[in-house]
Amino acid sequence: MYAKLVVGATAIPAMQAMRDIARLVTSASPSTALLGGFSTSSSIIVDNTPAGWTYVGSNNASDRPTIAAVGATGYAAIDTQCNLVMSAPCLEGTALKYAVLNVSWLGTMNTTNVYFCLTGAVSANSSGVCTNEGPRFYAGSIEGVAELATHSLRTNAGDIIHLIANERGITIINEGRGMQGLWEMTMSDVNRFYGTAPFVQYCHSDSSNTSISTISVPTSSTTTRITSPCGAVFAVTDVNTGVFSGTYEPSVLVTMNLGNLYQTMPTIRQNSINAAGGPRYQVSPIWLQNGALGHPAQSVTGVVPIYWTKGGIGSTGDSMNIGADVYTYFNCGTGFGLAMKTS
Amino acid sequence: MTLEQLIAHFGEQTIYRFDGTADELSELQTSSHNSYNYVISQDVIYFVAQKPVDDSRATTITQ
Repeated sequence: MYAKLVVGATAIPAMQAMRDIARLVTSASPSTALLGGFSTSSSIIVDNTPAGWTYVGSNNASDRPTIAAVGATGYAAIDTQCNLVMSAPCLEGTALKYAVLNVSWLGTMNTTNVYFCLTGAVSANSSGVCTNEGPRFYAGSIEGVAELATHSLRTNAGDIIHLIANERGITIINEGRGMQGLWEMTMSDVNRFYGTAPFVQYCHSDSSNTSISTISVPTSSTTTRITSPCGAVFAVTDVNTGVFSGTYEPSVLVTMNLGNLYQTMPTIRQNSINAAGGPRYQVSPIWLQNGALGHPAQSVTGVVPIYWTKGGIGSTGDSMNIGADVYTYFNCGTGFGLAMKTS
Repeated sequence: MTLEQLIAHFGEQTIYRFDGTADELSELQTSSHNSYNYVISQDVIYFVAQKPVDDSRATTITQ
């Protein structure tokens, strides 16, 4: 499922945007009729193949047992966490992936509150209680609404959100700004032994910001956060020590944990050439290895049809030939881009 | 895990030691509508939660 969601001339409250996204991702028939916040005239469901996620619930009473109806304005009280939880199976095994949409700032839920984020979780119930949820910052109403801007997706006037989802993952791109993703990876023997779901959360809402937030759990913020990328893997056991971590932040112990999940070097994919000397861009498959835990390398690319690209190599929607396949380029700002298949 | 490792993992928030099983912690947190994250080190559960926890099995080890 691929939806191009247009905010239009007036900002959309974060909760309305979250509801629209969750309706689309969990719908058997995605359409603009499910939109109560994004513009129904400008937004496009480019590919209406059902994404295959199941709605689990929310810690907001108005959004259970189903997401509030289109046009509903019932929001949680100020300084109350507000989430929407979804789940999907993995290619192998019985463990589910959980995706959680969260309001970032807990102040008034009107159009001044335009920040939200996507996390993963090991499990969750219909009341939105999450076990081992991935990292995000959140701030109470006493804080400024923009203190978490670099950590959040945004629905200001003029913003465009690209939502690409199937059972293997959810990718939410803020056009020209950044992205957040929850992606299934290749299954490892460690996953098989422990019966865990292989998936990773990567949030990089401001692609020009390359300072990593080394948080592994939801964290209350009382200051303006100047970092952006954060990520986690879920329900991991260090096979050598036996230590179990509900969430684990892969950028720690960088000399032992490998991969290219964190996009902190915008210049890393310099232009290249083909065999005839003609120009070509470089793309990188997304992968990681939590070697410090005794885990093998695991790839997102190949499970999710996605590659990193250099930032600013084209316009969203441009076609890219990667091998024998055609991908779509998404402008995520100056730091990096994404090439994805959307159907 | 040492206390320093737990703080490095969970960050600057209240960390509890739980004298019980993971299922018992799940039951406690679910009944109190309180999302949480945990680690298990040498069969001991350490966790952080979205709201304060008031239970005799949960001992605060950091503030």
